[in-house]
This record gives sequence, C-alpha cells and structure tokens, in this order.
Amino acid sequence: MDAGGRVTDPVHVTAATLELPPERRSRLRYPITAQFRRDLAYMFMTLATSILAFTVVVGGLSIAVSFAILIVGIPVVVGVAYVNRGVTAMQRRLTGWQRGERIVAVYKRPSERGFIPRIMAVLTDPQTWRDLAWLCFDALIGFVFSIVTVTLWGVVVGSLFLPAWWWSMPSDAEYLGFVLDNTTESLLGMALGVVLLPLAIALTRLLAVTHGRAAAALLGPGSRQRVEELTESRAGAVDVAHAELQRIERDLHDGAQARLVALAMDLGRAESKVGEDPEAGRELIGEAREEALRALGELRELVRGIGPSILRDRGLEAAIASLATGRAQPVDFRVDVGEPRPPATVEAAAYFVVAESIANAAKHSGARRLTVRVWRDAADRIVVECSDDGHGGADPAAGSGLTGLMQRVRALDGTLTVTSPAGGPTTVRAEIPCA
Amino acid sequence: MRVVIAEDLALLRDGLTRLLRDEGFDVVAAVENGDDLVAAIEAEKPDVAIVDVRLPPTFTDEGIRAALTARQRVPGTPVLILSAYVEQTYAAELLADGAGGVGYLLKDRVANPSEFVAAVRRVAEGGTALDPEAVAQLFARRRGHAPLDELTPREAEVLGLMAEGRSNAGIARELVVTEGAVEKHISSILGKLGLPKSDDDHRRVLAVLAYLRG
Repeated sequence: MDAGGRVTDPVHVTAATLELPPERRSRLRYPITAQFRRDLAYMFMTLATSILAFTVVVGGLSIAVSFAILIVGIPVVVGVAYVNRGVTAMQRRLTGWQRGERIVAVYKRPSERGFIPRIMAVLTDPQTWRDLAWLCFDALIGFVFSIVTVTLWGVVVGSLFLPAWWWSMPSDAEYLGFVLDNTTESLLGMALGVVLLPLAIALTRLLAVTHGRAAAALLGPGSRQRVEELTESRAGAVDVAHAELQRIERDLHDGAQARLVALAMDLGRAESKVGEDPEAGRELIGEAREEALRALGELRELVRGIGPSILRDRGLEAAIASLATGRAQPVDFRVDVGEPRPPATVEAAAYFVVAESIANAAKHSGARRLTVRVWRDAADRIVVECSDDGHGGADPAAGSGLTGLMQRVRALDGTLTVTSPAGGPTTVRAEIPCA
Repeated sequence: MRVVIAEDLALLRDGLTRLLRDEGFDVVAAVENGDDLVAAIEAEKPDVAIVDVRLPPTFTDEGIRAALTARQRVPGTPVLILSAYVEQTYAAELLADGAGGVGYLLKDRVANPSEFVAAVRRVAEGGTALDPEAVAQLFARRRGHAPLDELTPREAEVLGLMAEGRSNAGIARELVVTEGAVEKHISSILGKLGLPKSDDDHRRVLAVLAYLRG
C-alpha cells in the first residue's frame, strides 16, 4: 500500500473503536451497574466464543496438519490463519466493549505486493501465533469460565425463585443436598440464593476481568511488535523531520536569503549612485526596502508552517477557537484536553488536523456546518474528531493535505482515519498519544 | 505627542525611538518588558503606547496582556501593538473594551515611515489601525458568504480600508477618488451588509469588524 492508502490499512480498520465521551472519565470505565451488566453479558457471550474457538482450533488444525505435508498445505495454513484473524477481530471488539478500551490489532504488513510476500508476512508474524494461543486459551479456560458463570447464575436465580416452583419437582428430589418437600424448605433455598448472589456478582467480575485481561494481552500489540511499530514510525519521524529541514533550507535559500542578497546589491548600487545621481539613488533605496519587506513576508510564511503563534502562546483551545471564528460555515467546537498541556508536537499535529479539516470542508465538501471535538481519552491520547455535513467523497490518497497530516500524526505514533463515503458525511479522526 | 515604547530587542527599540523622534514625537520612555510598560504608562500617562507582542519573561503574548492591564489602570490609553505575525484573536481582545485607540500592525509596517506614523497618530487620536493582512485574513474566511460576495470589487476594497480603520478622507486618498465617491460606496456597503450608518468613525470600525468576525 502506498503512503496515502495507509489511511485505510487493516491495522486501523480491525481495531474496535470504543471511546469515552469527554465528560465521562473515571477509574471504573462505567458506572458499577453498567459494568456489571457488561461483565455478565460478556461471560455469557464467552460461552459462544469459546465453543467457536474450539471448533476453529480443532477444525483448523486438523485441516492444516493433513495438508501440511503437501505444498498446497501452506496456502491452507494461511487460510486458516485468516479465519483465526476473523474470529480474533470479533473477540477484540467484544473484549474492547467489556473493558471500555480499544484493543488494536497489529499485523505485519507484507513487504511488497504478491502472493508469496503475503504468505511470508502471515507465517512470520508473531501475532498469527498469539492469535492461535488465544483461541486455545478461550477454547479451554474461556469455556470453563463461562460454564462456571452460567451454572452459578442458574443456581442463584433458581434458588431465589424456589418458592415459586419447588412443587413442580418430584417429591423425593434433592435440591443442593436437601429434600424439598415443603414451603419452609423452599424458603431456605431462597435464603441460600440470597447468600450466593454477592458471590456470583464478585465471581462474574473476577472471571470477566481475568478473561478480558488475557484477551487484551494476547490480542493487543505485544512488546516486540510494539518495538517494531515504534522503529517503523520513528523512521517515519526521522524522514519527516529530514524532509522538513530540507524544505526549510530550500525555502530560506530561494526566498529570504536571495532577497537579502538582492537587497545588499541594491544598497551597494545606491551608495555609489547617491553622490552623482541622487534621484536614481533614492529609487534604488526604495527597491531595497521593497526587497526587505518581501524577505520578511517569506520568513513569516516559513514560520507559520511550524504552527501559529497563538498555539504556542495559549494552547490548543485558544488556537482552535481562533481557527473557528468568522468562518462562512459555522464551526461548533468543544476542546477539553485538561492539564498538563500536551507536548508541543502533539498540539501542533492536533491543530493542523483541525485546520486542514476546516479548510477541506470549506473548499470541497459543500458543508453547511462543522463539528470539532478534541479531548484526552483514558489512555492519555489526544483525540481529534472533525465532521461536516457535506457530500463526502474525500480521497486521502488523491494527494491532498491529508497525506501530509497522516505523516505528521504517524510520526507521533498516532493514527488518522478518514471516513468519507460518497454522499457524506466526512469524518476525520486522529488519535495522538501524549507520551 | 508623548509616546511610550515597549520592545525587548535593543536594535528595534532604538530604531523606533529614532524614527518617531525624527517625526517630531516625544519618546518619554522606552522599556523592554511588560511590567515596566505598565509602570511607565501609569507614571507618564502617554498619548500612545507602542508595544511588541512578544516580551520577556514568557515571550508569548506578554505585550497584549500588559497592554490590557495598562488600559485598565489608565483607561483610554491608546495602544498600538506590533507583531511579527497577525493573530486576529489578539486584535479582537484589544478591541473588546470598545474604548477605541487601538492598533495592531505587523512589524513590517515600520518600513514605510509615513504610513506607520499616520497609523500611530490615528491610534493616539482614539481611532483604529488594523493591519491589512489581518483584514485580508478575515475576508478569506468569509469567502462564499452571501452578502459579502455581492459587493463589487471596489466596494470590497473600501470595506477592507474601513476595517483597517481609515477615515473617509484616508480611503479617498488611498484609492485616488473623491470623498464623495467614497461616501457613496460606504452607504451602499452598509446597506448590503445591513449595518447601521454612523458618523462616528470608531463605532463604524467596530461594527464592520464585528460583522467580519461573524
């Protein structure tokens, strides 16, 4: 994929997006009751996913092993790996929902186009094997966890309502060790349910947290992948910094520096003229002044590319407010990044994402209004979201300013996603880590 | 006319002092930071203060903040801000108290002494001097906005000069037309934009800027 096409690369598409709105940010991601409902639903769904995992592991392995002796076995193994990716993508979404965070999948990108590089990328990707490890874990431990949860809740609910149904049991039936034959005993059963209820709640939380943590650990980026990704984006950062330096050097050389040379020349000529032909001397001095002003203008343009003064002076909120005022299309913005101030590079990247989005919306999209939201999420990332009500169809690969933004954001280890279906609306979303 | 200058770079501070003295101004104080500026304005009660935005110790918007403080302590002190960049938020903050006597110019403008001095005098007399680049920025943002697009090119030019704070006579001189012609343009512009007519130059500028800022 080319640099522009990375906007839609699978790393970002498979990631479950689950973000908290800025106003809800606490240690427990959700209110206790909401978290409990999530945990419970999660453990019940785990029953289904663990059975699916079991099927995929057993089915996939047997197919893979039986084909592996043949050459055609390799594509089959790769095919199985892709099925695993589908299943784990679903698990990332599910666990992301339960944990209130985003679990990002990092798969190796093929080094070049073609079938063989693709196969090699899959086979040498540690995440392929971590996916497999996860499926085994879920098939065994996940299954046990969910069975325990389902059984325990069956007992608790059954006991709590025992007075309502004990009569339907055969007369000599035992219930949890005692024979049920009158209402008093059924009330005892109900009391047992009441005692078991807190245990069930606590156990559900414990199992959901353990299962979720394991999923996040195996399905999220591992430490080695993290290093690889970092090296890659560091390299990108160095490229970007180098390209920036070259641009500044070229701009200075062709612009201000050339103007100052011309200025010195004009002044020199004026100096020699001023005795014999004062009028010509004055004209040259006037030209020199114009030259100096143009040099100033060019220097100003150059520095503006680094970031506007109000951003350095007062931070993101003031700078975005300044961007938003006086637009022909009203911009509804809310900026809340809290304390401490994000690093200057992060602020600048966030600022340029907003500036570019506003400019694009005004130029191309036919939008009537824009919404800008900037906040800091629980993982200490600055999230920028700009959407408009225009007709969409923005193509990041078409050499717009979006490609430059992409590099800027990636260099800071962040992600930029542009969704712009034909017919609209367009949403640009950037997530930039502060550390 | 008594002037206080606040500029941290000695080269520019001395240059400005010399330029203004040549033009017959009385530079009563030339300071290099915000606190000294406030003190100098309180002590000298100058006719106008010329202030660089970026001053020690923070080198951010110190100049603006010092100017706003000084205008609270000595109400009505005219202030002309000089800056290497135009940031319309800062201009808006200075204009916000509605007291007039506000200027916001790029430093480059000192290269044209006669226009620069005219701007200093305008501000000292309670008028406005907004940099053409700031005005151009405001215009650029409103591109595609209905009533503004209905102005003729000449009217847009006149509106720009109005926003800079020029008087009718000043606009006429700049465009090399008669004052009568300028007045005609202005009443047509105010009509199209739905702004009230006003004989008070300063109030007119505020209305135009408020309109452009949306």
